Amino acid sequence: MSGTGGSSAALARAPALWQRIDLKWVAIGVSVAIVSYLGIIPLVFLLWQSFFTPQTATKAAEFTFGNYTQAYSSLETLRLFFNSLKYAAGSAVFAFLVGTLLAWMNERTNTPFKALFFALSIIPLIIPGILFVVAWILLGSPKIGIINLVLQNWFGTDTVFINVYSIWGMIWVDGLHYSPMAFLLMTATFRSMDPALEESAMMSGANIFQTAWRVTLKLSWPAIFATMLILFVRAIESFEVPALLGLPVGIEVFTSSIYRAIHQYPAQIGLASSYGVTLLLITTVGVYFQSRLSSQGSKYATMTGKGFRPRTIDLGAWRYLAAAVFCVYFLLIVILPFLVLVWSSFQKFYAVPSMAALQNLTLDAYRFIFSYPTLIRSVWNALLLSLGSATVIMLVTSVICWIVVKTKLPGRWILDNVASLPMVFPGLVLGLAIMIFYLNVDIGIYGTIWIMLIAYITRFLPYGLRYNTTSMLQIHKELEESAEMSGASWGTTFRRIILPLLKPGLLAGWIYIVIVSIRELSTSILLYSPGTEVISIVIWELWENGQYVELSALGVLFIIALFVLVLVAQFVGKKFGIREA
Amino acid sequence: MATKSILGAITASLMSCSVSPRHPGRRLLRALGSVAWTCLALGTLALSMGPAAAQETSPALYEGPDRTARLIAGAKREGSLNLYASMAEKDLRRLVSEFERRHGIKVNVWRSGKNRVLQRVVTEARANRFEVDFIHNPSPEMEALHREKLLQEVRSPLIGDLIAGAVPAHREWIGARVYIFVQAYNTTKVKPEELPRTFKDLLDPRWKGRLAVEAKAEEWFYTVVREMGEDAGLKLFRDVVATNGVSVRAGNALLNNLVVAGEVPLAIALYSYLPEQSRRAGAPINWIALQPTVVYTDGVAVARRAPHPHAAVLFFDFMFSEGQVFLEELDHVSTQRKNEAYLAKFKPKFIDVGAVLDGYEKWGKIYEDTMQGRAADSRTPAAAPAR
Repeated sequence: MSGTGGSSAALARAPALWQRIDLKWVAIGVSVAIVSYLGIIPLVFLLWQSFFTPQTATKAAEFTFGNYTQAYSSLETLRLFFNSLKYAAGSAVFAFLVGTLLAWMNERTNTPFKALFFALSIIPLIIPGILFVVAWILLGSPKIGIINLVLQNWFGTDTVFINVYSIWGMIWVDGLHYSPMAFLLMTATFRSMDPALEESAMMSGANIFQTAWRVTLKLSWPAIFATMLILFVRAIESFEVPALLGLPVGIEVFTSSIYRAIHQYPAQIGLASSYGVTLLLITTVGVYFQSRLSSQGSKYATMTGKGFRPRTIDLGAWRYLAAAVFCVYFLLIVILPFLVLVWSSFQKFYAVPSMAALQNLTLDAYRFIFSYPTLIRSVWNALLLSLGSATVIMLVTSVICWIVVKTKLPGRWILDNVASLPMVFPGLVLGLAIMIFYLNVDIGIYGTIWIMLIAYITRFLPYGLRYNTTSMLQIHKELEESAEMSGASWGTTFRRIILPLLKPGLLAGWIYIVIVSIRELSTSILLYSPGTEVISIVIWELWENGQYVELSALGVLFIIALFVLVLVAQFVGKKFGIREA
Repeated sequence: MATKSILGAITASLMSCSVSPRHPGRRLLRALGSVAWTCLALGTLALSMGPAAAQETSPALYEGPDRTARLIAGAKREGSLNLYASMAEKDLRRLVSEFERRHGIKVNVWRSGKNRVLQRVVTEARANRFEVDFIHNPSPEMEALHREKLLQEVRSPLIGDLIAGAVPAHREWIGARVYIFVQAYNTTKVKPEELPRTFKDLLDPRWKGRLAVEAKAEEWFYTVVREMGEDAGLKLFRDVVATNGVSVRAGNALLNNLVVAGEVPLAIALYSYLPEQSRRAGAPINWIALQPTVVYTDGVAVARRAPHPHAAVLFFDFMFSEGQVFLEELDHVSTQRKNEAYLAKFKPKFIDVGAVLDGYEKWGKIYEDTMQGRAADSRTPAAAPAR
């Protein structure tokens, strides 16, 4: 420490000024360049395509407005869009409520065993989407759902207790699957919150719930907004739950139009793009309002020069209730689907649990998975890509969100927007945009793992940005100012002040991106090449071939590996935590 | 170039024909005429040289007695083969390793969904990047590649042993397997005596809430309805949906698993190999084939600009010899003529791939509307099929 201080003092005499400015502008320049480059390529591709007819060998692409008239002139679009809104809003609110409640109990209260609960909370995220939905069909279908069968047996009736094939079922399943996203975001927010205000509220006689409602949540308003925005946009763009649960009962959503347009010959990329433009607009409005929040200065900054340790609220006897809530949640959300997977992974084919089916237990599925030829390589590639993209994204977006939140540069919300838009590109369109660009601008990355890294970074950039932004808003400007006053360069301030304070958001975002990029399929499936297979391709492969039991086995292995990983990470984190104190 | 010169020759010769030989300047004209004829001859030569030259360079068209020896020697020189396919990994893996073992040629496999295989081949070609040698995909997607002029004819003696439905007139792709659309049922939920004998039997109220279809089976639907007579066929399915309801499931594998699990007692259209594989694993599933039975083939082809043409043609020949034997061991029905008797039992109706491609959008919508029980009239009319 003294070494660095001494040398910077020595250097401070002659070239300090240009050095200081240089590093700042280099970092800003590089980050802005990366983000614009990554964000603008698919954006231009999407807008450009939306004005052209499909190209074939016999017919060149022609300029047209036809895609827009076809997409937006029918009542059909309106009906689907309305379904999408209902579904996405419901799913976002539900995921938010569940995730926030868990995050609050985990970070702000003294609920017992919460370290274990943290690891359990993110398990739904790692379960491949298809498996999660199918597990819920097996649990909650009116005909074969285990929950219905058990309850009907108990009460001796034919009543259908729960039905996943409904808008509420869709909201339930999708909301649960993405509640960890809200959980991680809100965890980061609560962790960086100065408990002083909460304590004052308690001192003034507010009870726990009044404090949580009127202080904690009010202070996290920007984070709430960001979480809702990202959950909503993601749900409106999602495909699995509507396809598996909505379609059988005629609930169709907006994305089904996009998929229908893409999956025909010649592929109607232009039509799909013109549908996508609506999603772009929704996101743009959302990001604009978020930036209005950010520009309200330090209203939400709770991390100031005043030292604090995030202390937890003593729930008293309530803490057993909190632990019970956790237990019920995990039983319902994590353990039940997990048990369905474990059960089917030991079978030859899926059968409703019974004494007869118990005779058929076998380890064949696990043997199959372990002898899968590209398994090791796929896992390795997926790890490289997910760790690489998560690290790059979190570092780059930390600078971007510093610019957006902490500077007064004109047009900074546009930067925020450009970086947020890749979230709404249909996966295949994004893959195609990247593929076409690097086929024509041949810099030698087509067919290598690098093109996939670029695709992953582009695809998950928006998530990194949201995670960082929520934490950045909590850091008061005065901390930077005092660092500057003490003679620190921008680089030093950023490295020694901003990044450490941003740690909760950085870490939560990093975990999130690592997990979801392991699952990424829609762009990988077009961009991978022999040798750069990833694990999500293997999952898709098994699913396509109807190897449901083998897929369940892989899912079980996935969950166990993740669980161990998170526990280890927490253990390491705790050790560092002790050193910090 | 050749086209230009031949056009020139044709106009010149037309001019020379129309001029009377008794005309005073006939020497000049004769001279012109002979120039024209020379042009025509040269043009024709140039035109015929094109394919002739290609014939010599492309091993796909060579039919001499030393064909196989040449292919093996050429493939050895090329050393590897790039294969894009949508065939299931577990099946493809066996084919490829057997080919590698036999010929010592490394096969780089890129496996993906049928739409992505099509998309990748087309996109790479448009950017003048020619990586793929050999392509496997269902026949409608192969027909699309033929329309994109990205495939080449292979004159293999083995094609003669195949059923007619596997060989399109242009011969740029050839079918290797037959997919049969069947009706799969859960054996614990459907009693044998309940089973429908015709599609009309699905109108029986006993099927209420027990039927399902796959979301993208429009090529099956199109063919069935056409066979029944379009109006009658559409009416039948609309009536079935109105009486008993049909749940639409996304994905053939999912639908098959749901039949196994008992969620779907009867699936109206499913590829026969899915329930067959599950049945052999001991799952409570079996299948029947109602009339008309719709079938179609996959297709394999050598890319027109294949970087490893010898290896590609060698793999093509391998597919239609040892390859098909392997596929039969894995419960697939190959397009070998010896299966004709087996197929004839189904009175198979082959899908018209050209018509399917042309009517994708229109029939996709009609299919969706019918299965979701919506009146087709209430929606915007389907756009004209894009060619």
